[in-house]
Amino acid sequence: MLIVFLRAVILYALIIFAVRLMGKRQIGELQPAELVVTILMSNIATLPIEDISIPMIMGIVPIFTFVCLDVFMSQLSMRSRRLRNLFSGEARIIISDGKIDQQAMHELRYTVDDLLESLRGSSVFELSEVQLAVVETTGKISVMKKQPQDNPTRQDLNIKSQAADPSVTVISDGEISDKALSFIGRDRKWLSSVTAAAGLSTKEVFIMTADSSGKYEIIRKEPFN
Amino acid sequence: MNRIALCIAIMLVIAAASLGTLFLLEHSTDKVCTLVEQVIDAEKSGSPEQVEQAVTELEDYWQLHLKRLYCLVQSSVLNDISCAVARLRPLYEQGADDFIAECCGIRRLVSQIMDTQAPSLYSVL
Repeated sequence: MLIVFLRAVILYALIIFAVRLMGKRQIGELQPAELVVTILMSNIATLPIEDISIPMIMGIVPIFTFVCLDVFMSQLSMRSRRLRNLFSGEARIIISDGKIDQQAMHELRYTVDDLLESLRGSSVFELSEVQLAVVETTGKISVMKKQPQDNPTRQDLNIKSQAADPSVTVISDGEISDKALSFIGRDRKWLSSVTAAAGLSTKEVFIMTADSSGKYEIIRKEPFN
Repeated sequence: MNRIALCIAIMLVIAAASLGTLFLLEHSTDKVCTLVEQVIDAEKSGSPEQVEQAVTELEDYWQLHLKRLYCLVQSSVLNDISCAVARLRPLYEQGADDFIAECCGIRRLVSQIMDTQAPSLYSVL
């Protein structure tokens, strides 16, 4: 049993490394090839854990081979549109100008229920509201509503607005993020002065957010019983 | 780009390790086959001392290399060979007729390791 435990610990660390090597992606955003690699990895990793007669190297080698091939493939895909289409497929328009492309739906094996479910997921409950719908390579559907049904923008309403980055978290549970400070063009000196003005040290701050205009919000740490 | 460089490095390490493994397996299996041949020759020469020495040499070599082989080959195959090697001495001491057959069995099992690990059309497919 100890062997199984040790193997599980080693493989856990290796898989975390392998997944990080593949890059940041959520399960729902995986391209078909990446999904295949992820499923294969999880399957292969269990083999040397379940069966201790299998050397662990038999699990490690295929996992890293798959990950490396996936990285090479995504690199090649970035350079060639044809390869990208070959590996990941293409986004397909299934509703254009409010008209459903039944041929495209048939080719994608997309049922009416799938379509309606995806539209509901995009907060569209009437087919007549859709101007354009695109099935992305991940299988998700992107919807553009017809102009009369769409929300008005500030521009539509002639409201003046300024483009500004949102505020970032500069202190999280007493820990200063220098990266966030540099993003808003500030430094630790400014931070100390702001927290001192609030009568707190940085260690006493639970959350502090700030933006590039110097606007900030501080939430103090609460004592626990 | 760092990711690509790291992946190339990993692939090179895997390729090098695979070749190293093959070399190690070939060396080990060849040596075991040679030692088994020595046991058969000694038995045929009719000298118990020579048989004793050849079997001891085979057992020692196998024990020495077994742990390393466990990292590379499925242990069930290696366990079969270990059992067969352990049976040789008692078989000879009892004057069993199937001593040579057991030796041939070991030789076959050992060469099977190399047959299954060496990359060929049939082993890959």
